[in-house]
Amino acid sequence: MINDPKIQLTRETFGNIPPWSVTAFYIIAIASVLIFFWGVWRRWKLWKQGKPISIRKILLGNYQRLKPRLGRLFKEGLGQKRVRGRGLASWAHIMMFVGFIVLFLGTTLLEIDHLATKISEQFHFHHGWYYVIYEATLDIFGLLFILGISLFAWRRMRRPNSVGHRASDWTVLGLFLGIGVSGYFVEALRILWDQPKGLALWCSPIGALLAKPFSSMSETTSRSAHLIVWWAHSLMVFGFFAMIPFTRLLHFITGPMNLFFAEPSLGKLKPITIEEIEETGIVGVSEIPHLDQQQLLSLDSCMECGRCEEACPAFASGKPLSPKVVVQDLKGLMEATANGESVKLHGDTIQEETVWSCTSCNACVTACPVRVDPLGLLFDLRRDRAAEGALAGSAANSMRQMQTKGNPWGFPQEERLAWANGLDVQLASNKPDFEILWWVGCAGSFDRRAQKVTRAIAKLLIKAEVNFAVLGPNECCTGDSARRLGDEFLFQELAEKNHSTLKQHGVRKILTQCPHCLNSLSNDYPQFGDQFEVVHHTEFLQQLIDDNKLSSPNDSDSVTYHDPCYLARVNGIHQSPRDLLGNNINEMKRHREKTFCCGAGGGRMWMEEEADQRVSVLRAKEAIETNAKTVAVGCPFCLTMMTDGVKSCDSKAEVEDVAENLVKRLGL
Amino acid sequence: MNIFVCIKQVPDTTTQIKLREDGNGIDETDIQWIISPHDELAIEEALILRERKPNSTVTVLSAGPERATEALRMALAMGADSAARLDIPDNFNSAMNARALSAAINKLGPADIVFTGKEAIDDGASAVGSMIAIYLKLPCVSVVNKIDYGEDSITCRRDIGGGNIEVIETKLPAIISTQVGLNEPRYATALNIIKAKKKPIETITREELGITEANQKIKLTNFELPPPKQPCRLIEGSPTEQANELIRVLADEIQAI
Repeated sequence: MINDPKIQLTRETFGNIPPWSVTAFYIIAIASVLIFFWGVWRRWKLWKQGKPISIRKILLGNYQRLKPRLGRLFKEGLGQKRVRGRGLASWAHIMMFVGFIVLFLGTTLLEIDHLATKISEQFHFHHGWYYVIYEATLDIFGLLFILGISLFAWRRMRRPNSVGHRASDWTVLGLFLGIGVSGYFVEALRILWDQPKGLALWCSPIGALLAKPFSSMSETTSRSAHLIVWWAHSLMVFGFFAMIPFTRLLHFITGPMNLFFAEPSLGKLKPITIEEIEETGIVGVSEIPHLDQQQLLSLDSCMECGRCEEACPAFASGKPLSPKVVVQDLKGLMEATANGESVKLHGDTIQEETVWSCTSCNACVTACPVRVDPLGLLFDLRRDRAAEGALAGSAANSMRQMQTKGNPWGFPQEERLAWANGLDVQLASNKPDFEILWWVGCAGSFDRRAQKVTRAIAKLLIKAEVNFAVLGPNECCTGDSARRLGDEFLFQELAEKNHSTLKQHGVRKILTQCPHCLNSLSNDYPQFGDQFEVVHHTEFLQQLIDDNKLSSPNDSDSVTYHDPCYLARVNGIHQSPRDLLGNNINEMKRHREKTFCCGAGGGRMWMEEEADQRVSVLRAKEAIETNAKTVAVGCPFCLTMMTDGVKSCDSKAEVEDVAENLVKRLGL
Repeated sequence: MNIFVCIKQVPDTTTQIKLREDGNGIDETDIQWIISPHDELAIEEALILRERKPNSTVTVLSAGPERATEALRMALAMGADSAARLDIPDNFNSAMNARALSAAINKLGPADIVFTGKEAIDDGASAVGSMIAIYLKLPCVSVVNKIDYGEDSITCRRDIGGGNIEVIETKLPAIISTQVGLNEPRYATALNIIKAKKKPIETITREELGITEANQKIKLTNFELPPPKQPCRLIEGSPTEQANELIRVLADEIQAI
């Protein structure tokens, strides 16, 4: 059939389109492209307000550094990796995305063929089997495109609260639907006047079916209708293209760009130096030009999909913070600043309360499909607020204690080993040949409840004959809260002090029971000195069981496990605690990397919370819903928050650390 | 506005106070010194007022030995514009301190308003604020927990016990002594402290202040630590048993009822 001269397996590009129309088509095409670039250039100017990033260095720097950027572009851009995970909306996006890409590539190929043929007939490739596959593919992916749009339109009609909405969103969806549907009609009408037969007809199945009911249409009618619909289709396509930089479609450009330029740093904050501050006079961020160009670009890649807002514990507990709104408000300010309006960042745009409401749980950071980092933005703002004296009340007290006493509670350092009374726990200075240094942490040392966890761990370590030592009075707060409350230099002072203590004892491997200490020591500290191997006690205890140094315990009673943010989400440790707890775990709805914060992170531990705004209560309710008798945790702050939360829900569930649970089951 | 704040450096509240061997004072080794908490409220209020009134300056004064410089440094780190230490010997003589502070205010002033804590938590004399007012012949409102600022007058609120509130309006200049609840003192970040180290702190000598030995009218003769706390006794049993036991203890053992 393919060689049947009567059946032409191709179609004429611009068939039925008079020359004046073709000329007009190209003029409008050029205008549309110009408007597109003008629009993008306007946004570009907005981003240029920020602190420069070296694009040259990023692009021409060494390949090892470029590789993860390209990886993100392919996996998370083309592969839509981070778009997944939101049910139907994810599927709608993927359908639309794939459909769009295929139709876009198809149109581009057609144009290439058209231009190539102009040069020489022998370059013509839009025929034969290629044509058959081409037509069929575009027909099918067109359907996918329309299905994706329809799903999105349906969702937008019954719009979830977290999804942002502008009038232009309907224009965009309507235009997309119009382009998709009119495309099929152009095809159907072409079939009607061209009358292809056999494979040449049925390689465009949707067009063929659509043409059927109109088969009685005369050629003249179908030709004029074809021209009209073709123009409608073309104008919509050019309209859409010109509209990209002026609507949410901007993320076609900014999304991949942000995936490429983002500097993912889960669990780390950007360090600043005194020298930098002396040079610039800028501590944190109090106006748009203090943000860097990538951060400003990221504001423009936000689509208001609201995933961050849905994941945010501050928002869920009724505090005046939504990561999405922060990003959008800053975006508004970026535009206002460029227009020379005198709108202030702090106070006018972002409220004080908003800045301090973040628990630094990183849920928004991991939820964003295009890697916007609301946490990084907020913490840059915090540095400015802290320097301007905005920290007061209980958090200020804890910080003063950290400054003067080396721990947030203000206990005398000499009492750091009070918990160990009667246990064989040695100081590193008395036991220079220790294998692992146990970093007990301030909570584990001073908090009455957390001390019990510390004793439980000590018993297990002693039972397993682990060669460990502690620093006792020489241990200082890691400064995690200080850094996350915006006092970077208090953090750096503490880090320096701890670094020198650890160096003095030749420490390489550290065991810690606090995920905040763990994160600080393994992610924050290497920015200022040595890299240590840091293990969480749940990992270490599981290893001891695997090595038969501790016997395997029986399964526990029904238990649920609350994953600490800085353990599960930030540092990926969520299997060991579960292994330790055995087979009787009733999981909460949100668990492992998707865990929901207890409310204590980001220095919130030291702040007062309104009784009706407690994150801990929300999480405790989730834990209680599992009907587990025990709520196990792996973090001293979670322990405090979950205990309070469970109590205020009048539940009898017991909150305990995984180590305490293990001690009970081993009968130690 | 010319805003003055008078502060005192005192031992940290958690310090275990030890007495000197001769029993005539406290042993200062190992003491962590802080700004007396009520004086922090005074600094904060001055900073809040400065934000409201353009072209205002906050000057912080402290009478005391060399170590008091650290307290002044913290005040600068919180945001005060300038600071001066009045170099008079450490003493428990409110009148002498008030005299020195008044002299310094006269020298550096005139003041539009002076803030000070309602008391220093070391000797708890609660006297300096009112005494400065006498020496400067200015009105004084003490133990204030709320202030509304008008054009050239202020309205202060103070709790006077029994759930009663007193509202006092006064013209400026005036001396205000601050009570908890007035505000929440801000936190000075490590960076602000580093920056404050570069700011000069003036020292005013006792000669410049006109303070002589003759002003030292009080002499301390002896220091004693308070008796150790009695251990707690827990009363156990059912609520009725507990109540009966409590009544018995109160009536028979300590004859309180």
